[in-house]
Amino acid sequence: MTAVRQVGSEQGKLTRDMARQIEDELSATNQMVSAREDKAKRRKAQGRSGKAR
Amino acid sequence: MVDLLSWLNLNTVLDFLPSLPTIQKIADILWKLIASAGVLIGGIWAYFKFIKGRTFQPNIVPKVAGEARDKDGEIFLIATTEVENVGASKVTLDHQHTVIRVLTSRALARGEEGPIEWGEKAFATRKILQHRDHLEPGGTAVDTELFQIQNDNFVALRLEVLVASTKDDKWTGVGIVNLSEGVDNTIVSGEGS
Repeated sequence: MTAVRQVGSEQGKLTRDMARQIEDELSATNQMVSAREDKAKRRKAQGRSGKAR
Repeated sequence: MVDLLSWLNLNTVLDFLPSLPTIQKIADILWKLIASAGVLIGGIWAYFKFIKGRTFQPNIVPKVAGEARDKDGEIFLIATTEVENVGASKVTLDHQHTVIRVLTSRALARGEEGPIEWGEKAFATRKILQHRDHLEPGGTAVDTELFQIQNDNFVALRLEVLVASTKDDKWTGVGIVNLSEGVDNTIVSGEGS
């Protein structure tokens, strides 16, 4: 187990580039979560069809 | 004779004394000067108190803490963020851009050395503090996220908390999780700016 070490903080203005980068990263993370959920659903569906046989 | 002299002297003195309208004018000018000086001094005081002293400048201190566990080649990271409004004004949060970012860094190949770069894009980015619309002065908000990361020879994780306000101000807090065993990662709080 390792704990996190806080190294600092700063203040500034949110630039358009940074805002766009965050939006892109959020979208990528959401796609990752959706892909995982789809995979889980498919696995569940396969399990059900296997039992039915 | 003496009476006549004293009467003449009194008249001379009275001649030199300003008339009543003149006294009123002088008093009026003095009063205006004092009032102007008061306004000027008040303005200077207000400038230093509120502008230079940043009394009503929004000021947020984001802190990040947490722990990482390695289990069967998977890293389980619990990241806890604590955001405190240390300013004297209310801060309305921009929910779209108030996030925690997790960046990873991989060890260099054997024989190579030098600084290790963090990935340009975050491994994962999650919105935080969605349950809070704003932060009152002196108020604190806390949020926790859990991440699962395939340990692809990572040596450290970088956690970045980014708090954005609707006025396009942003505050960031950065924390490093050293994944090497035996490293002292005592939690240390960062100072706000």
